[in-house]
Amino acid sequence: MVKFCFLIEIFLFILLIKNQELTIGIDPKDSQHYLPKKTFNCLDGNGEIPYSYINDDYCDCLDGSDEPGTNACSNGKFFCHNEGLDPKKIPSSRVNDGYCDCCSGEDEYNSGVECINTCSSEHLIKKTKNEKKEKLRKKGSNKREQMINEIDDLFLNIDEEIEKSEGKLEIQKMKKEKLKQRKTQILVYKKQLPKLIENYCNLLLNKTKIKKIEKKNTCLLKKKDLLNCKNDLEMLIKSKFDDPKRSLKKIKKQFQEIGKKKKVIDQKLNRIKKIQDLDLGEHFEFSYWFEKCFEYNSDKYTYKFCPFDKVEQKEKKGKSFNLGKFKSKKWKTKKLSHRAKRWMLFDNGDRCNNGPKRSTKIKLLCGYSEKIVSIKETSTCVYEMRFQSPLMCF
Amino acid sequence: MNSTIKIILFFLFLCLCFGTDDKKFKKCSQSSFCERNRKVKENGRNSIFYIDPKSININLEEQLFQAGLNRHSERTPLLALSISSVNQGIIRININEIDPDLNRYQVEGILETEQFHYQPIKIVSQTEEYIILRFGEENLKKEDYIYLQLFFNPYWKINIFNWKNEPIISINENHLFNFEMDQKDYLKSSKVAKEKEKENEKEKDKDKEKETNKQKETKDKDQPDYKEKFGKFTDHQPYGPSSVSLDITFLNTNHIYGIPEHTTKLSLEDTEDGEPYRLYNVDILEYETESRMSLYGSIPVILGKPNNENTMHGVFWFNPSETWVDISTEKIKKGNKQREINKITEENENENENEKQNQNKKRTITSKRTHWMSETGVIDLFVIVGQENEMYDVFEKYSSLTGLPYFPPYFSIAYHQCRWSYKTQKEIQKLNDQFDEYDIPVDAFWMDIDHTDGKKYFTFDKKTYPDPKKLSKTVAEKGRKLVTIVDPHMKKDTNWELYKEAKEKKYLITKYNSDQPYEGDCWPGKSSWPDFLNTEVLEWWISRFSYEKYQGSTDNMFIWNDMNEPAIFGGPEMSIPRDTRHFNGKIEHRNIHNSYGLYVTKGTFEGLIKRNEDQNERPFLLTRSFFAGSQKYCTIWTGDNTANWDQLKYTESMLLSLSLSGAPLCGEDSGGFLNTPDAELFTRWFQTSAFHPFFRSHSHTETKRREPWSYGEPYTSIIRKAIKDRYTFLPFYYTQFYKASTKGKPIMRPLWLVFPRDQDTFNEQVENFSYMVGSSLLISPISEKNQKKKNVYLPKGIWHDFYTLQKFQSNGQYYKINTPLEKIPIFYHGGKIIPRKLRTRRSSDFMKNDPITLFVFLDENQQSSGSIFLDDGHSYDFTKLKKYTHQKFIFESNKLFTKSYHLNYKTLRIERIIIANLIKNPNQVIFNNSQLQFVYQEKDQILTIRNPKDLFVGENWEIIFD
Repeated sequence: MVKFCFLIEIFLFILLIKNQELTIGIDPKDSQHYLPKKTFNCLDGNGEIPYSYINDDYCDCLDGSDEPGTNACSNGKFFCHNEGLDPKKIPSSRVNDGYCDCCSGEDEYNSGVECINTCSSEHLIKKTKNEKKEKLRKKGSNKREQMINEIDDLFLNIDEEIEKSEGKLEIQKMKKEKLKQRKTQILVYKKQLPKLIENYCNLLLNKTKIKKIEKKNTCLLKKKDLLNCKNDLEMLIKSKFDDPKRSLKKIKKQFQEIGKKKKVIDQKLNRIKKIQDLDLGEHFEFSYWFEKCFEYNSDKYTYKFCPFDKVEQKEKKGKSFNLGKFKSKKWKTKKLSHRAKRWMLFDNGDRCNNGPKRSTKIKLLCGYSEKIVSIKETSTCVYEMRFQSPLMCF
Repeated sequence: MNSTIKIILFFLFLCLCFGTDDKKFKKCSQSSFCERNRKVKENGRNSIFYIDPKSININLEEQLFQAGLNRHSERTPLLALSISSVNQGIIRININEIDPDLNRYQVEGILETEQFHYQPIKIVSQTEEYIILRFGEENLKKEDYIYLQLFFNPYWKINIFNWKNEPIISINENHLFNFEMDQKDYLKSSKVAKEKEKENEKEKDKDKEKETNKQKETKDKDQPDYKEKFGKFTDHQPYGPSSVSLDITFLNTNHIYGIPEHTTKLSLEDTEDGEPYRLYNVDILEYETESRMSLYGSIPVILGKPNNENTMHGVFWFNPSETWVDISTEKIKKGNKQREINKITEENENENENEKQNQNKKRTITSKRTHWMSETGVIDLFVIVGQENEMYDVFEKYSSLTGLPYFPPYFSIAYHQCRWSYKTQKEIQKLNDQFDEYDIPVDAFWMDIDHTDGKKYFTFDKKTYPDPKKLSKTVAEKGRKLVTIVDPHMKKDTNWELYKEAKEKKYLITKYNSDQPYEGDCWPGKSSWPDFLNTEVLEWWISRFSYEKYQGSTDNMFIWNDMNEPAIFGGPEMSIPRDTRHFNGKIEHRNIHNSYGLYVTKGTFEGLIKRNEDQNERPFLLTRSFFAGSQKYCTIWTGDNTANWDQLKYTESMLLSLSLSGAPLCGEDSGGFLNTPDAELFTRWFQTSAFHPFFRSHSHTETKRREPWSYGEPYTSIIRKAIKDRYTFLPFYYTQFYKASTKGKPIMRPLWLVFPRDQDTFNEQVENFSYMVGSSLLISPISEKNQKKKNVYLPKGIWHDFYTLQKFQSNGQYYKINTPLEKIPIFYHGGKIIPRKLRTRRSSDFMKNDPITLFVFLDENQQSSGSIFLDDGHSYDFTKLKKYTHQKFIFESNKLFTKSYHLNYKTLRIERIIIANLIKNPNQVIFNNSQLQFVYQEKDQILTIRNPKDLFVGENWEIIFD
């Protein structure tokens, strides 16, 4: 009896193994299709085969669905259960090829290779990694909030600022206009004054002339008197009124002052308008990068990344190259929510010898501090930079 | 657009298209010896050589026929002509000075002299005009003897005969023979040139500027210390001119092939109206198609396919100095006296009658004349006479002279991924993962110049490749290999031990006028070049490959020799000056130039063998420069090609030319090295490249990164399929490589080699733009943009479409084949059995135990055959321990069975047999007394045997189709 039981046990064991082999590599989602029946229908609907053909190491179905557990079908998929970690599907060609692809090692059940089950350790690593990442993200995210709260009013009230500045500019313009009028007045006055004096003196002298002719030495008297008259008059005017020369000097100074003021306002306005054109994000958070540059030192070069402007590469002792100008058209902050789209593009830089114009892609990453993490030349004159900032911690 | 602007733009465009700087490379007119020899007939009667019959001597001990060559102006012979037959069917004709002022350079270390079996010589007859010699052992079959007729006067001339007693090759028939010996000769010839110049001057007074330039050149020529100028370079020729030249005519021949490496069409074209074919190894940037300019390597071999005969004859002009070859076509009426060879006594009468009958027909016969001109050295000519109905005989015979192709390891016939450069170890590690991500198989990653520490070869850059051993281990875990580049230029860096040692021990090529190393520019800046001709230097180079000395290297790394022409930036013709010296100043570089690359690879090859203690691992080595004999050591690729349709188109004829010239292991940069291909070109390139013997993608550092997946869908899937197809054919390819390494047979073949009777296979379109792999696959690449259909020629017989197995019963006709992007025309040849492995893995190594699928394609007579070779794929155990299996599969009389040549390697399961064109549906298929499961598709006449139990490659068996 004992013996009999033993036999049954062996029989059951064999059945178990057999069954396990039959169903190895099957995605649990599809398991109902593999339930023991007389025949098996290929999952793509093309062809019906005897049930025993499943996992018999010969490819019958065009879609490879009859061999989920062997490498017989070149287009098949093997399901790794990877208990303890995420399950995944691998190409059938990796089943029993001598390389452990599933962390559980279940893909190498008949290759002689002994796989170490790494699911739990990988899970742990993944977990700690994710936790670390999450911690970092949180930290960065807090920083981001803080940064958003501290954004310069300038960026927040850009329209007002523009109005303000434009108003100021208008005032200066009016001032300038007034000054101009004054200047022409003075110029006219300055030009006419000597003639007026002469005419006046002549008139004056002519009146006295008749009396003098009656006396002697008229000629001498005449000249001297005219001169004296002019001088006297000029002195009189200078003492009583402004000297036109002095006034002009004063006006010139005033002009300069207005010019300076205008320039300052203009600059400010231009800057603000530039800001207005930029996509600085929902909360204007990218204003932090406005007019800022970040540097990175490699062995040979210093790299300079100026977010809304350009990327530069400078030889340690020598020339510098423009690695690309900011491509504002491709900068859409809304898209940054997609992990794959966190890029900033720069192109149209200095031309390479026989090559294209230099260009750079900046991969934006989440990080507590703002800095360039790495840079590499992916192909000649095409650069890829990794840059981290709390602004990218969503 | 303004029309003038248009014109300007057009010319700018032209400039961009035609990149090669013609002026950098010599034309025949700029090479004084080429010009002199082209005009050799102008030297008059006194320069013609004849034979004084009294000088004839047969050295029986050495099986050598000797005679003196006299000039009509002189009494004593100046030159010794020796004729021998080094192997059955091969005549060697050697001409050298009898009493030279300076011994001429004779090449060493290339010929397989140990393999020579000198054939006995017998004088058949001798008259005052000629002597007839017979070569061959006494007991040979009549048709295996070679007959040679040597005429004495007024100029020496040789005719060589085939088995039908017809002359097949004629030597010095056009008396273009020249052998420049002393300065007198030189002055004479330059006087002639000068007189000519004067005449020209009178005629062309207007072109004064040009004339003065020419005058300058002639003046330089006349100076006693002999210099030849080319551009800013001066070539010092202290020994004076010493060129040699000879004409060799392939009689009754329309097509001759060979003398790679050129971008011309396969069949050699007449050169009378232009430049001769040039053989001078140079580094050439942006080479052009359809040019006879020289490229990176040269093999001075021409094969002729005689009309109406199914055989090939060949000549091997064994001279590694600069060589030019003029080709012309000669048409004569048959029955011409010159060609009539009267009595060769041993011939039987029937044949003579046949010949007479032939002569009576009096038709025009085309012959091809080749005129060989070499800068220096001796004349050492081998004439190979092919056997009747043996198209491949010529390859085996040629291999007996310069060696059989090496048998590369299995991985090297799979797919290689290369780029200049994968700059860091991490990049390669990433590739190693990416190929898996995209599910594309790959066997090797290549590391170009940037992996080194400052372009000092045998080193790794510590920053970018900190741990090459670990990298090697990482890729090896997936069955993959690494290939590193080792170029022959050595950085002039006195802090570098290797350079210091080379300089101190005087291992470097020296300047023409001092014992100081020659210095030129290459990748590392100022560099020098080892003198590989010196065996001590070669040994030193070999030793550098030991794992101990080549720090970081592993047994999973293989080598790539580039720039071994040698290439020198800003050197004359981008190479080394000819007046530099080898052997401590004894030998001028001009003597050996074309063989330099070969010696580099010879050293590297041996280095790779000797790095393992048991010396039992087969090397893999790739070279850019090559010469006759390179096939023993390395695979050849066609250098720096450009990504455009035209270059893709001409790749086939370039590779076929190499394949026919004894270098069957060849390939090209898939996708084109320079410029960036568009997605379609890239895809089409991979589709044909996947069937070339060597399959590697490579690209220039200034182009966009490109891996098989770079272009996205649908391209990635199509390219993946092309690469995977190659992997499924690996057992078949490996067998082809084995045959190449044992018989010298080309792997890639022009159609006419397999179907020599079919005249259509010689058509330009068929010959140049389609090819066979072995004799089993026909590939017709797509090399035009947007080509949706292609006219494909299928020789008479049964063919099966690769994709659908659809049958084509051809009478030798063209078929319009649809060629959507995912297809290029590929056909199986009826009558062939092809072993494949349909389970593709991430590398060939991971497929080594996978089962075989046999594809059996029956011909009109319901017969078929094919073979397989199996071994461990990497060691010499197959020769040393005879551990291999070589088996033939035969289908005839409704039976599929094996014939085993050798069974001594593990067995491989056969999982499936597909038999196409099986006309009768069998009742049962019996193996081992039991029935096999099978399915027969009536419509397509295809039978598939499903999962046969206990059927193995490596065992003998028989399957009966009842």
